[in-house]
Amino acid sequence: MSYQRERQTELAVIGSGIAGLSAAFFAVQQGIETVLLGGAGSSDFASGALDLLSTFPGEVITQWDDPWQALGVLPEFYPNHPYTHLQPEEIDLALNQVLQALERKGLGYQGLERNVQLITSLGTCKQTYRVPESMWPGVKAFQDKSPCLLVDFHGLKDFSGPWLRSTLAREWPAIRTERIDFPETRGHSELFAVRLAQSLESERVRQKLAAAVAPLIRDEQFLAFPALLGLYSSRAIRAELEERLGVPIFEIPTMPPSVPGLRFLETMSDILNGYSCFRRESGKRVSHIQREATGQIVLTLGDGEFSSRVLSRQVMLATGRFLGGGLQADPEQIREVVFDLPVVQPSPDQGWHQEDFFDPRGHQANRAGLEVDSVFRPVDTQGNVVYENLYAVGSILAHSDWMRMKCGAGVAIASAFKAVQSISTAYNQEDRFSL
Amino acid sequence: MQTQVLIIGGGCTGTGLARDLALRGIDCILVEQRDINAGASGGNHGLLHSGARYVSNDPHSAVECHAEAELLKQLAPQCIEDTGGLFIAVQGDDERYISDFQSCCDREGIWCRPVDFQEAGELEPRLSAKLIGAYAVRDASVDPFRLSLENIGQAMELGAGYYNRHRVIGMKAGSCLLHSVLIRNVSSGEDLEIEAEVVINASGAWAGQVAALAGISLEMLYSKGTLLVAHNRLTSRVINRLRPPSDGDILVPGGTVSIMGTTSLQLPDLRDIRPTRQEAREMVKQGAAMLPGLPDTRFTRAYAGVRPLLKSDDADGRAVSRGFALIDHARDGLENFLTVSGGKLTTFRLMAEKAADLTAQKLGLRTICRTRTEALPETHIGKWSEGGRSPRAWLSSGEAADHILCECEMVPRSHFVQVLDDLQSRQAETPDLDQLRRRTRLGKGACQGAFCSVRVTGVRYELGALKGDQGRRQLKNFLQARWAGQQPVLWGAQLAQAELSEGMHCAVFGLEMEPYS
Repeated sequence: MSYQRERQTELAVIGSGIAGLSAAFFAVQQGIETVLLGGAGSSDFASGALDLLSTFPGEVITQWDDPWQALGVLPEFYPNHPYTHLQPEEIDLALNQVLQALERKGLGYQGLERNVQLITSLGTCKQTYRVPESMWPGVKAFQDKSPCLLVDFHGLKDFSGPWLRSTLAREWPAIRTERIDFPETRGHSELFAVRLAQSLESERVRQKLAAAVAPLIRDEQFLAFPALLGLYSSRAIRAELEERLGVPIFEIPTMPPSVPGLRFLETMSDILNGYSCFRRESGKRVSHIQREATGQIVLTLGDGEFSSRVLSRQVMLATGRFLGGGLQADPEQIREVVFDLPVVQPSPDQGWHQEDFFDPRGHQANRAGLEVDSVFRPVDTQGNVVYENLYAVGSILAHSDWMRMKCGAGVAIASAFKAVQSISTAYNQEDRFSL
Repeated sequence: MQTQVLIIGGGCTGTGLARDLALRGIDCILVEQRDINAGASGGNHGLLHSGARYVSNDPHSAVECHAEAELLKQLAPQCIEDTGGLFIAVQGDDERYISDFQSCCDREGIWCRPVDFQEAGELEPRLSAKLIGAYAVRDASVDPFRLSLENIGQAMELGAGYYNRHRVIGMKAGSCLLHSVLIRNVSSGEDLEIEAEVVINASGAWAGQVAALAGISLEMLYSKGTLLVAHNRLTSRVINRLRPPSDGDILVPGGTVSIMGTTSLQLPDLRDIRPTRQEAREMVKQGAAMLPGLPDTRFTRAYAGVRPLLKSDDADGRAVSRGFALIDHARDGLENFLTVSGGKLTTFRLMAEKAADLTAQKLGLRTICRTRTEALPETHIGKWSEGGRSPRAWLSSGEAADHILCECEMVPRSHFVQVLDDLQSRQAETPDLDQLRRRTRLGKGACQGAFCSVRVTGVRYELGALKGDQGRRQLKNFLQARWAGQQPVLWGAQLAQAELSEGMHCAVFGLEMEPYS
């Protein structure tokens, strides 16, 4: 006899990266009963900054200071991009709702009406739209080339202050670096940003860090660290360190896995857990799906004895691409993993990938994915909606190279918003009908 | 600058020749336009041929391979993994070819033993269940990088000179002698003139171009061979398809990986020698007859080498004899100029011996070859290229502060620093990541350098070895060079890996917006 847990819900969201978490967030706000499925996503590989849109790939790369202006002309150049299903007002609203909810939980983001330049650990400039507030003073410090002390740590092999200083020396000569032992890490040769961020949740460790850094500061106006100043209470931690050290502090984005990316995921989860109509079924993959005559979709999670089932009226796919596990490729073609939905394939004449990794046009395979209608329901090759209660959001969508266009977070959040709106409208109509 | 012998080309033949001459007490200099084994010597499957592959179509090569392979197993064991090999045939393969195999081997004196199918399956569980023929042979795998590094290492200890990243740009000849060779440092652009009593052209696929500088026409055949690197080691032994040579008929294990080979494509010139996705797909399809699991196997990269064959009337690259050619250009009016070309990795030592014999004769010296009897000493410069060696050394050193920079292949910081110091002491310019890759496991694991290259670059800034934006530029060049090999095999898990790499280097770091060096 096999034991099978079964749960009924209005909406099942598959995938818990930025798109999945955002979809669940918009849904529970509308009071829609939601179950979030699937693993942690690949978002801890993101920088923590929220991109909207800054670049058009092509023979020559076009960079846009103003993402809204870029959105205005996008349909001319990319007529099928997911953003073409959205009004700028909807995108703005969606981003603001998420940002406000994060802010209420103490995870602040800053930005301007245009894109900003963020210095990365390689000394490159990342152009993005909303910057974690922990990095924001760095944007200004870089603009003004203010004197700045950059502190990094013995054993933190993913971050090199000397590299950053040397690379920026010409444009920002007033950077000085110091490398110190991170408090309470004696005996650990290798340090990891996520682990150090966790340890800074302890006041004792913060005190020791401040004591170690204080004597190093000369006349610098800013103090910079790799992005590891706390995981859950980063705002308070940074404020406390600033008070102890007497200078504004900022973080520099690092190699993945990134602490600011994790902060985003953790805070979103925290927000969702506050809603009684929200449930999470984590850890297991969807192993089987079945669509009943009523249209209800039955999702089986895991295999065999310990599997469970979720019966849902609406399903949202936010499973990501190859790394997230939403798409899978064999030598011949790309498949969608859960529903085996039709996938827009790279055109055979142009090949999957360019010969140059950094080709300014980007790679075809990164624009493969799901074709959707105006409310983000996957469609088949004839343009017909596959299931009227199945949606797809985020990076799995076709015609959007999130890595090159720098539009990952924006597409994830805004497509989730629009899809939930559609579900919500149907839901409310049904409610009224049944009354 | 003056020397007795100038060798052009730092592949297996050139480095083997440098060692051979140095052991005879002959003064020599080797010049290489890129780096050790940058051509076909690095672009092959690393098979130490037992000779069995050639018994039916090239018995002369078969015998040569057999003798050399057995010799190298004795004299250079540090470069060789004596895996043994199998020849297998599956349903549909030519039965006449199968039934002749044993007698052909016997005729040439090459060891070969029939294996019953159940035993074959037990020895190599990934083999097809549809076997109709199986023979054990004495194939082995050899690390060509290690071999060449050890050869040039000993040669240098004996006083030989070595210039890498120096391209031959001109030659000065008199009526019957080459007087000097002009070389250019490709990094700095500086030129250097070397006077030599004998000049040896061992430049592989570039032999025709080098000979042309001396006014000699040497017609070459270019045959591109593409190979795939599996993420794991798939078999213990070398697996050969028991049929006439064709695509996807060999799998060579080496250290932690297996190499799938090979294709053969005639090229009109050396302009496009990259492996393609089409070749990779085709090889996997062909190879699946021997190992049915290949289509689901994770491959990390593909690479291609150009078989340097001297032109004959035969049009197919495979049918041309793999026997080597030693050309005395006295026939073209230059008494002190030789070209050594063709041949195989397995017979590199013999080629070097023959070329050195002729060289000594031209110099009027009576010497005997010592590479036939003396073991190749283990020098330290080649050792970290061996898979699995770094983690073993790191674990037993117990050096806690020496952290792992490459997590795929478990290479600690100290091994990279050691190799970089060594390179730095031998060359004027800053070593690049590609040179480091050839001498360590950098960029050879699953991530193909996405993470370790960043960490190593960080360490080099800390040591003061890099300045300004050198690191960012080196990183970009390195990732691009690694990409050329990954691009043909991007499906399955390796495609997800590539997405992680691009997500990091383009989405987060915006490296595509930065200039190359």
